[in-house]
Amino acid sequence: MEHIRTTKVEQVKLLDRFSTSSKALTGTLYLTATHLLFIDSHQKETWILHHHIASVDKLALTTAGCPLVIQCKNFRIVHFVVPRERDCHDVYNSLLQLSKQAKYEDLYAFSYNPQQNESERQRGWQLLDLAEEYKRMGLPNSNWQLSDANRDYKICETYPRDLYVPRIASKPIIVGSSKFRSKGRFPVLSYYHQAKEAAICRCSQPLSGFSARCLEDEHLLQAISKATPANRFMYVVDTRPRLNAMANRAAGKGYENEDNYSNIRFQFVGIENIHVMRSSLQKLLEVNGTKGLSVNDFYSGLESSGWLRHIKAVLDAAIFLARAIVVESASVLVHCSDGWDRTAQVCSLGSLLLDPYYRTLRGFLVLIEKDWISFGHKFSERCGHLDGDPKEVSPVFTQFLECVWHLTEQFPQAFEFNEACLLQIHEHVHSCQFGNFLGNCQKEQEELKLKEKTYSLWPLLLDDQRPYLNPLYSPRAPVAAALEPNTVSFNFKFWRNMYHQFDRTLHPRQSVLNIIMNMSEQTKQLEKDLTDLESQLNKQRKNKHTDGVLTKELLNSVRPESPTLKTSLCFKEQTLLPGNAALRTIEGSNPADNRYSEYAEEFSKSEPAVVSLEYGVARMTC
Amino acid sequence: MFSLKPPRPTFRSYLLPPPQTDDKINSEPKIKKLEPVLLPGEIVVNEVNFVRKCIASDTSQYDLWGKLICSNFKISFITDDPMPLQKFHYRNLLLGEHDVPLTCIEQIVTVNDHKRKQKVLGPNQKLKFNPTELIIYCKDFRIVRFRFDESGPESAKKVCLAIAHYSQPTDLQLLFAFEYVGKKYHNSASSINGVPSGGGGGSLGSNQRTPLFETYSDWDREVKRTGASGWRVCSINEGYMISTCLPEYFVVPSSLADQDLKIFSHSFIGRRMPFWCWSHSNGSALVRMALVKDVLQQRRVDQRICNAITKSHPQRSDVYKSDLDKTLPNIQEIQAAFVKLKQLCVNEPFEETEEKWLSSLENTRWLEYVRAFLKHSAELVYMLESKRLSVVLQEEEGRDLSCVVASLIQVMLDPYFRTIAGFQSLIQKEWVMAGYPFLDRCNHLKRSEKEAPLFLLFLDAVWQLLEQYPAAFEFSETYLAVLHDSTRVPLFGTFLFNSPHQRVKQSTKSYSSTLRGMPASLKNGVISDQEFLPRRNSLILKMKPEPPQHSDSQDRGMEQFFREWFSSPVDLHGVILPRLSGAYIKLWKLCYFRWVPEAQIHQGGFITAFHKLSLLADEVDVLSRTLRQHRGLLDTRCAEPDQGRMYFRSSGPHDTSGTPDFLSSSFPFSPVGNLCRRSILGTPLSKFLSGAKIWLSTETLANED
Repeated sequence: MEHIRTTKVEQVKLLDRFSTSSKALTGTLYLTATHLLFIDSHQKETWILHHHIASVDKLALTTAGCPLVIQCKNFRIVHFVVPRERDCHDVYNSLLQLSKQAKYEDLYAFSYNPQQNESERQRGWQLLDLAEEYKRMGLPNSNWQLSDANRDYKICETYPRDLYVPRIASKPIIVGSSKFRSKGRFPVLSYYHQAKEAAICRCSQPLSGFSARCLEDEHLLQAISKATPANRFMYVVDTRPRLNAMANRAAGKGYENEDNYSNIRFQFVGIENIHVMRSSLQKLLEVNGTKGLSVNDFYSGLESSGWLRHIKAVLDAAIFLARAIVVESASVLVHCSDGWDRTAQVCSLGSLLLDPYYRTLRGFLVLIEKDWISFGHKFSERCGHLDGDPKEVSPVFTQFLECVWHLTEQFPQAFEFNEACLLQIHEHVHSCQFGNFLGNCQKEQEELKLKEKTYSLWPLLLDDQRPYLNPLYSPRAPVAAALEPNTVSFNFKFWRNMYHQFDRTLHPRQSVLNIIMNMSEQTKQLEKDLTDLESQLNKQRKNKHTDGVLTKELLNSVRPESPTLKTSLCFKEQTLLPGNAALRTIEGSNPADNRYSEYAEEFSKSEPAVVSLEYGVARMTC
Repeated sequence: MFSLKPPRPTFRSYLLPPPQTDDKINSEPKIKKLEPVLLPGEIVVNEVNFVRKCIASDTSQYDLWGKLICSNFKISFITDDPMPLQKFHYRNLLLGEHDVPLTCIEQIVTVNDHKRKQKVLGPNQKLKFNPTELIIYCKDFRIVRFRFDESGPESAKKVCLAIAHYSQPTDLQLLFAFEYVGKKYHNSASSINGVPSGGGGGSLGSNQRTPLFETYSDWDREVKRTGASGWRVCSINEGYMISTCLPEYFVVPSSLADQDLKIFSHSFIGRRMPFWCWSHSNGSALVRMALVKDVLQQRRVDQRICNAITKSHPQRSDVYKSDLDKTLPNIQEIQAAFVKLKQLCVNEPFEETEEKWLSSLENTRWLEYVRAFLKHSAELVYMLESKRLSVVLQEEEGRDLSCVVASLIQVMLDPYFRTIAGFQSLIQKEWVMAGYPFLDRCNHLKRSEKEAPLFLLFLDAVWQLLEQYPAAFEFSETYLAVLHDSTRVPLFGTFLFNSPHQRVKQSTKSYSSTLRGMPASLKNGVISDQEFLPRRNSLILKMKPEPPQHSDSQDRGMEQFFREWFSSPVDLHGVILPRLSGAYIKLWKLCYFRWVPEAQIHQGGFITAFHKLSLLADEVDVLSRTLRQHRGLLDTRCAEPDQGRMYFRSSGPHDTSGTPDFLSSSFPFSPVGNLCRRSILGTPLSKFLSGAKIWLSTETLANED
């Protein structure tokens, strides 16, 4: 690799940013083609994927050496001190090059090989099927049909090929409407609620300016409300703040005029744009970086970052959608500016509130596949996969995950998946290790031939589900219907496990989740013992000659004492934490110091990671 | 989901075991029409008919009609109307749903709409207008409002005056506890309404009642339990001859003779000489003492005391003195923070606080103070555990801050105090017997300048620990909330007096203790099997090899101690230390928001996780019991299978019944019926449209594309 000047630097110090102690871990820093690797004197490995690196900073030279601070997209911050300035400079320059690729083909996904054969790769990409998903919703039906208008991405490049529209909307109407919508993103169905016969639809802003009209667009909206038998009105939700939407009119864009559309109720919900969100996250990270340690300015810092306020705004909008459908059986059309950021957030969260299927692990992945990937959320630009315009980067998807996390906190029993699942998805949205999130829309993904050249993330989450399952999940709970979260401000809290996921010193010592997993395991063991014993008993009864005393002795000898009864909780819980060896070997991205395996490691030394190191070294030497 | 379902007549008592066992209660004759339910000794002072209890602030649609009575114990609203919009009915054994004990009343406001007059009623005051409305602000953050539009103006006025008079007594003897002659709850050793008393039932509870530390033997047992050598129980204060704010028996260094103690006692404020709280298994002791009055004598007395404590230490370690008055906020500051917190949680409309919620919360300084106490206690844990020094807590009178710090240290260090029986004995030992002035601090008698919520602060700090170590405690957060509430029910003697002496002096009969009546149903489902909770000095623990980091512990710095502790696995039966960074110190929502309708998460919140957890714990319990039976190892514990069981029980293995739909984030309390500031009415959508906050963009628009 031409970018790597130094492959190994010794006597590097790793500082803990939350410890005031000057004591630091000393070890060796390796630079591979894909990862930055630090092995400390205890042989503990810290792996950092180059694609995860958001920024590298060289600080002023100190007596101990040259400090190098690396900030990652998964909120890991590492602080190295390199003894020689020249080494530091080399590493710095290499990382700058390696973390910003210019071409998709240079991303890790195109070289990552999890030792699967071609059919396994194919299977991974076929795990989720959106056609199946629309069938599950009950589509097509008498009111909605599959349109082939965008079969060749002719009407809208950023939409998927398969789109559902009202049956009475003819092709000329669709074409006409698409010309009146920003980027051609005309109103299409995102979610269909079978019981209420109402739909969540999505589009981009109309090119209405101050007075422009489009009859086809008006027809299409009418068609949507006609496809909703229970309510002749429909809601049009503009997720932007009113001022922003009004400002857009000057540029020939804007929002629907209620006078021109006979059947709509128009509503702004005031979610800020990607730039505001980006700077809000930046402020949040500053707050938790330094002030996280004092109770005194933590809360006001959190407040001034505005982050939780934005999360609340997104959730409020989703609740609006859910209520409109459940209470009034009205369809809702959602848009923002281009209909791929705020619209994706609101539509997917609205569906999540309405449909318990999306609260299962599989359903949740389908939801991401549908509302985010297929409808063209610009993952590559928003996550900065390639060296591009930094103004296009924004934590829109992270916000979505955080909204889901808040829902799981409010309704601990309503979701089949757990926090680890959300964190894992977040990890790989940025890792560029799997093809799922590469590119900015379906058309681009097809052009990149991702399904032939890369692997899918979904098998990792679906094949061994155990680490990602929520033990509290009660599918038959009454909340199986729509969720009604409470969005009063004090129900929003800082997501420590996301923004501090790598700051081990700040992790809780004990989580209810682990205790429950442990308890479930214990129950299973006891049940097994019980059936064993009962079958033994029956056997004994059949042997009519045996006397009672003997039976008892025999029973006692079966299992003198259940091991689960003996093991005390504090030791047991460690072994049950998600993060087994199998997971680590497939995953590859952060193999050795996977955050869930930390505790387990303390008891059993982790095996050396076979993944990608070998590969990385191989690439490095050539 | 979003529709307004008619209320369901589910009627469950959270203080009793669940329905399958409480047939007795259900079969009791139904309450007669609009007749108050009175306790023995309780008498109705005044009453008024045709009163409307307001449910929502802006409509009368859901209001309830009934009779308002004032007794010498409570105000009670009696109605036949079912509570609207409520699926779960919270029931207390002593108080009805609409009852407020007089000692829980904070402020009484009478209003006359027509004359546009309003008056805050104090005792023995006159009311010059006929009230049309009565608003009662409660100490537990509730607000209740009654309308008298249809009732007789004179009787309405009389009831208001009666409430004002009886809720603000001037003399201790006027509190209801002195009238209460109930036999049911009185000194009942075996059971209270079918609920086993003492340590909360369970396998430990049957033979272990909460020690009250009123006797020599209780103290002696505690000394032996902790394995303290060099300490003895002294009885010089028998009959409160020396100090009226110390218990009759307390523990002192063996090297100090009774005669020395008597001489020393004159030097201390309130004659509160140093007394022992607890000993670590390494021999370090925790001692509390008041300040020495005479500055000239101070040094000499201090020296003698310290020498004596050093002599009582097996390694003759030094004494570490902590002056709490200098390191912690004082009681006035704590009270001020609490008042602000209440203002924020109760009085201010959410529309206004919403945007500034977090900074307003921070400005109350309540969390900061909770953190300060936890931090200081954790530092003293370091002295005891790692530096092996005895710790002396010094405070002017030694009756306020030291109660909090001494108890927190023991909760962190000794797993016994994390059981129900242990926790109750801790409160008895470090609060009730140590002379925490409950009467003044709870303000039962309206001398408001001495009011301070130190006991609540302590419960809040314990809650923070419980939140961080859910499996380390036998009890749940509901238990802590109910314990807090019981300080406002003037029925039991435990939280009524300023000192044990006052209690003895004021009462001719013995009171039952609140701490003995805690039912098993408040047990925490998270805890591991009780069998594994070893006592601190039991053989099991001594045989366990000491963790390696303990060997060279003498010279390590405090920071290193904390860092190492946090990086090693937790031993739930050993020391627990709190995390103190910003995101870890949280607001105790169940306690402060349970009466706020807007704060509720329907069918959600931690309780739903707790529900599932209880089912699992119960299942494990039932299965292990069945296993034991199969093995013929049936012991006495299995004879009473219901005692130690959880509140939520599984119907059998693989119980798949979902979460009950009456659960909400404030369970088992229900805020419906408490006055809310915003309407809970209207169609959900219209409410959303009118009530939802639309965030105005304050940011620049230039970037919008």
